[in-house]
Amino acid sequence: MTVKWLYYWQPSIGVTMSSQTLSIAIKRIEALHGVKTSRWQITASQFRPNQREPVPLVECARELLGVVFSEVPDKYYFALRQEHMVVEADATMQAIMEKLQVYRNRLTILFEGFQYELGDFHIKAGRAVLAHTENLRGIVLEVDYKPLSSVEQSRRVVQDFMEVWQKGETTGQFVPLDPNFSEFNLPDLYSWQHTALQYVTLMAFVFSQQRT
Amino acid sequence: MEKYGAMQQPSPTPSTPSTGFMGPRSSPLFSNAVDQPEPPPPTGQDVDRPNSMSSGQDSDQAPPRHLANALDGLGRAVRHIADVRSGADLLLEALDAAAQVRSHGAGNKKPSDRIQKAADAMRIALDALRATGKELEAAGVLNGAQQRFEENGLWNSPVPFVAPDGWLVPYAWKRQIAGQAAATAYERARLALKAFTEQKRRFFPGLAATTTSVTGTKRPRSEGSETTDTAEPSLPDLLRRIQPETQGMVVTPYERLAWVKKSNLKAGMSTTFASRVLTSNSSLSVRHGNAGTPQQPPQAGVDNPTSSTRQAEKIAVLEASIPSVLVAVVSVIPAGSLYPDAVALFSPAEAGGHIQAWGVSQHKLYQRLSEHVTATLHQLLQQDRTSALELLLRWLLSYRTLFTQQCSVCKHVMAYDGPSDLIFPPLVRPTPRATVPLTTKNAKTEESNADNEALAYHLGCVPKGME
Repeated sequence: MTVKWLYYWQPSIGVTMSSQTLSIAIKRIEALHGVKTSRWQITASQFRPNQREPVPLVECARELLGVVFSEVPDKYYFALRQEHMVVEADATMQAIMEKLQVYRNRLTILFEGFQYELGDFHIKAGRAVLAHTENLRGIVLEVDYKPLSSVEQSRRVVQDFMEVWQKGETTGQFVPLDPNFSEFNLPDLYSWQHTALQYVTLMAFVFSQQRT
Repeated sequence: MEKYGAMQQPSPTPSTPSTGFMGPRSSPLFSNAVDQPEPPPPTGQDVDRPNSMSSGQDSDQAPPRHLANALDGLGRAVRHIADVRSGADLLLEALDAAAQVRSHGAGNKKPSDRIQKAADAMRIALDALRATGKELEAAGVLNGAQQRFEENGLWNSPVPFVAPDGWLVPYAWKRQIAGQAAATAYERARLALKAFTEQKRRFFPGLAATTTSVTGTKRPRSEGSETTDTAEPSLPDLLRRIQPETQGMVVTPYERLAWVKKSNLKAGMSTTFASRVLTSNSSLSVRHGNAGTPQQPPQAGVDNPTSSTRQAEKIAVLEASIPSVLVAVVSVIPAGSLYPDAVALFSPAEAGGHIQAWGVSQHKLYQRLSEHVTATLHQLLQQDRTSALELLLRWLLSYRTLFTQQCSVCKHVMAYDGPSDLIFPPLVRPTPRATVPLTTKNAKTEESNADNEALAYHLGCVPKGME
């Protein structure tokens, strides 16, 4: 699978973030003759166990971070931060969880936008909103370098590409998200589990931003 | 019961017999040899048997007559297909009439007769079509038809058919015609000249033997210790020699048929599995014959070291793979010799029948890189034919830092590639000069190699003195 790198918009000091930023980013992409291909949507949710009894009878994970990709609708990915695992489940997992009521969905963030093709790079540009509201939480960029499947090989490539791409941008910059794949026992060969971990980390980051 | 709306007229243009009107692949009218199945042996057979329309030497009849028969048979097949179509229309009409009659409450004897007649007519037409299809198949007209249809339908350059003696049939496309066929013709002419010269020497000893470069392989032996290559420069020797020096690159030789089968097989595999197959281990293992794909039919004498020389004669494709970076496919003509003919580079994650030495990658980066490498290959061939392959392989090794090394001029990894909007890593590596004799100057060549390997340039950054 080809490697994806996530970037998060960091506005410069004194500048407020707005959806103008997204249109600026899209204009930059189109200036390089990027071709718009499709919409994309990724839903990241945070689950907490449903503590009805005072003492939980079964030992369970304190926190589940789940992600579903519009490109892979039949799979549901979970990242468990305490246990350092990324697991893959079937999409019916959501229905099961709702029926069982073991975990409750606390917060959900929706990442959505458009995908562009720029030579060998496939770029997803979009915004992060809190589900069921129109509350803009951030601007997100995902850069997918098609020829490579190895995380280490593509690191420098994508970094340099972003440097070249956002040269001269004053209102802020896109900051890369570097989740530690090795901590979660993920190999160098990229997969959807890596993507799940990246989006989950991004979601956690978005929440932490919200509190400040 | 749905009323069948716009009745389709049978189309006047002939459809390919192997697709039929029920769509490609699902046509039950033709046997497995024609349909494109997943297991390689039938495909291999299709590719093995030369298309009897193009290489007429193997057919019993003279080619024009065979061609006429084939066209006649195809015409008949088209007519049968039209019959089947109209039979289907009749059947539907009859069923429709039956439905209407039943709703009016009249006797339903007549409609059932009509349905029966229509069904009979269609069955007859289908039988006739099946018979024609079997005839055509027996005549060898449909060999590779499904494969050609698929290959032409996609934007890949189709795999040229391989005749049993290992030579490529010259009915090929674009670069193949330009590169391969010309190379093939050149090699055939060279071998013919060599054969004639030998015969002349044998039968006409009085005539002075011409000292052309045709007898190139024999001359180093006569010149003895002047040359530093082994007495008979051969492909397995080269591969063995390169082995300890090219850490990080795995060079695997294949026979041409085996490579065709392998790349077609990989088209069905998932990309992760394919990349695992390619990047098996970073330590070098030169395996003769086939690589470790599980479903490959075992070639004769694969693991038998005594027959390795015979295997070496058939090696025609070299796959040099640097794990996680690139895969280079080099075609060698004639099989078993040292003369590289074509080279192409691909992403390690790519799979499919287009991964050939004349194929084109899906990614723009590898496309551009393939062009550059091919140009360098021709440069090396012009400089010195015998060492071209070795130099090419060593030079390819320098690309293991393709994505991590920055350009020596602009100090970035990625930069715009000239007039286009594409962004590439540094694609240019210094081309190797001819190897100096290994005995005395070993240390120096290694040093200069090390220096050279630190240099890399973007296509737009290349300093003027280099090219």
